[in-house]
Amino acid sequence: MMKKLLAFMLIFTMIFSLAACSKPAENTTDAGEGGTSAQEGPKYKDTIVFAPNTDVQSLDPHVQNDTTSEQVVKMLYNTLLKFDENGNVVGDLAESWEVSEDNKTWTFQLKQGVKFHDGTEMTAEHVKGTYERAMDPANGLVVNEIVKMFEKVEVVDKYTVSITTTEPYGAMTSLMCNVSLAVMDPAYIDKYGMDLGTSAESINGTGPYKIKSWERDVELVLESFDDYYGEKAPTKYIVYRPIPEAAARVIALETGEVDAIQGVPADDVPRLEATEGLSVYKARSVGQRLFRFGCNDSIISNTKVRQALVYAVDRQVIIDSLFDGLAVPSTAPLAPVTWGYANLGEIKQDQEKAKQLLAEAGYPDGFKTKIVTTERYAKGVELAEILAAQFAEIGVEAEIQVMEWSAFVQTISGLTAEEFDEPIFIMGAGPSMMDADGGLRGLYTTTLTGKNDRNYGFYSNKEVDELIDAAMKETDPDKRKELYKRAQEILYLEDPAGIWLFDQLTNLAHSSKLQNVTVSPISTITFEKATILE
Amino acid sequence: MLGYTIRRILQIIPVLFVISLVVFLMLHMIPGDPVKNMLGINATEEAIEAMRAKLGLDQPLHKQYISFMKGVLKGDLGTSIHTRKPVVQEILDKYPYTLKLAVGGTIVATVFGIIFGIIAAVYHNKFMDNFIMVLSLLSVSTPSFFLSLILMLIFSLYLGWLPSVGVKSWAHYVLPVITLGAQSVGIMARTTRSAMLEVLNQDYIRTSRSRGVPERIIIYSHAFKNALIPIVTVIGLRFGGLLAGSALVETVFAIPGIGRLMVDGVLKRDYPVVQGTILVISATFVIMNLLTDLLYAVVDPRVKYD
Repeated sequence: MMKKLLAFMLIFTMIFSLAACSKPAENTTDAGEGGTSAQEGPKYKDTIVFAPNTDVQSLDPHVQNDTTSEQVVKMLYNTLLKFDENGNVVGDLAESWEVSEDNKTWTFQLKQGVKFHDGTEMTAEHVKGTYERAMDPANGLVVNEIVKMFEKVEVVDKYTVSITTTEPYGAMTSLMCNVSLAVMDPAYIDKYGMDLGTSAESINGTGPYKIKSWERDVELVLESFDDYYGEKAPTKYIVYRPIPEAAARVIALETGEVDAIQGVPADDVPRLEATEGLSVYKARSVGQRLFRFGCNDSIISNTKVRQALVYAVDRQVIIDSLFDGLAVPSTAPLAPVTWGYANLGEIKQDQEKAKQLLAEAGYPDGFKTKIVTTERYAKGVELAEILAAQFAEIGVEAEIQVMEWSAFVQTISGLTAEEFDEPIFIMGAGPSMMDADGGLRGLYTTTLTGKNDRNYGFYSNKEVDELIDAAMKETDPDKRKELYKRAQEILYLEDPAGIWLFDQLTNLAHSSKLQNVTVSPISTITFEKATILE
Repeated sequence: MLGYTIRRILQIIPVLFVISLVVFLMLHMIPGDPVKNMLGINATEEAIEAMRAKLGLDQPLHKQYISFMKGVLKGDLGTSIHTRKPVVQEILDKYPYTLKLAVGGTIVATVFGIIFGIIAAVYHNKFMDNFIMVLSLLSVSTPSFFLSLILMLIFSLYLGWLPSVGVKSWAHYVLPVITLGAQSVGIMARTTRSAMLEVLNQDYIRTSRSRGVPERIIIYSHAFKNALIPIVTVIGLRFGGLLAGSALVETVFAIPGIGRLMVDGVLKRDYPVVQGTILVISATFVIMNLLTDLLYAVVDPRVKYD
């Protein structure tokens, strides 16, 4: 008996040692499930399996607030307008649109024959019902903030709807592309209330895909919608299989269990690019990483101090050491893909200039301050550490405070200047409406409530306020761009609101057989045109 | 025995009450707000207040706790702030996954732990004993996160024998079960070894040997049975621990178990989910301890409860 046990144990140990020594085997795991479509020419699978890093939080367009949810909402719903491949605004559910002479009333002519997934025809009543829900602050919806200037929504006729704003709004067409304003079915809004978008049966959109099943944290399956008014989706099923751990996600892609993964760690990109059968797609996005200034701080409130800190940072070192290939140095307070961006050039590290500015500000020997960061943002702690080291070189001693995300969110807004205590804090920025209005107004305009609200760092500059306000009301695109350019010059360096570090690239690692995936500048990944070869 | 069991079950009630109170207070004491978390960093104060009122989070703390406890008495653990599903339903959805992992992990740990422990005891102070003790030290000290990824690399990527992540088939459970089991194998082996050594040095074993009783019978019939009490204790504790879910292993293998539910709840400040899961996990742990105690009487007739 003892001998048998010993033999068993040795075999067990050998399996481990052999396994550790063996070479990578051919990948035999099938990427999809289900059969293939019978077509001439190249054969395609009928299922694409995609692994985001988290499950969808909500499929209610008015509530969704994260990239994973947003990209699935985009597959299920449509907006009145949308951005085409070149970033131009084109009609989606709207056939055409016009604005009144006073630039306050926008009239949208809807496409006819658009069906919801349950077969109901989409009409102007649906648009009105959707927007009125968003406009009511008592509903406590995330979307409420972006429709604050909507005064009323009226049904002109069955296929015509008009929106009146309280004042002219220059970014209106960009706003109408925002997936938060996707058209929903008010019957479902009434039926499900706050539970809308939290289960498969509570979703009724007009999008190219409808929901087939959804088991939270396991799998969400979309099926192409046969009565879709636009071009039919070529792949029948899209499966979202959330894998929270980055290394496990990469392994699942390499084994072929999934066809594409979101959020590839920078360290893995070169290896995946070199792996046969896999590709890594990188695209410019609206996303930027910066450290904002808490301008309520007695030292940081000094413009020269802020300029000194801006000059103290070597952005290229940060990118090379932490985000090689997945970021480029920022050139403005907006990324180039955001409408209204003005190229102000990369700010190069200049320690002499930084020291001189500190001396002029009355701090020739530097000062002590604090950097607040969170691990929620990729390499948030490392970024703060590099910044602190670079500040130290000009004599500024920065203590680092790392906060867990929920705690960070609570300490960042809704506070008075006396309560807010974050002289330098990490921030991710990128307007989902891809327009300078979304990227600047509210974030850098003086708060009127006495609390920081969205202007977390209590930044206040009269000229910036006037420029952003004027640009919001201006409907001539060229004039708007000029106004935004001046505002960006001030925010970026003249009276800096933050240290803009880099513009992020969205990455998608995928099987080379996967084609035509749509990666938007707001980092959403959608599959309405995607196919996958057998 | 029956009286003892009833008494022990009744003792669970105050324990759970205290746990619920502590968890409730701690959750509300730590910084973070579920509504800000849900509505995002850009949400207006107005929207935050409206949502807080809708969720009843604007009520004074004691009212919130009383309302939670009233629900608990009716078997209602509240509704998740994020998924809008009843917490009971959330737990029922996730528990089967954790149960499969816990049963599998315990079987792996028990079988291999006992076998290795016996071998080590039998070959006391010889090479095999030392070898097993080094292995068991490795098993206890290897982080589950690391072991998970190593197993995935070997068995999923290089050999292609098993799927890496997910819960679609039984094969998906093999690697997480080995990971969870491996952690306990070392403890199990060490406990078995020391319990066996203690028994093997006793007079009646020496007497049996001198009477020519075969070694196999001495080890399995005499020694092992008498070494069972500490082994059962460790099995009970480990099984109870595994039933509480292993957030790390569940996260790496993308298994939606109870551990992940709880950790996600904490990160999102989903109060009802955290309160509900901790209550259920605590109850499970306490009940497992009770069952272990009752099992003593089965494995050792000398143990009597009254």
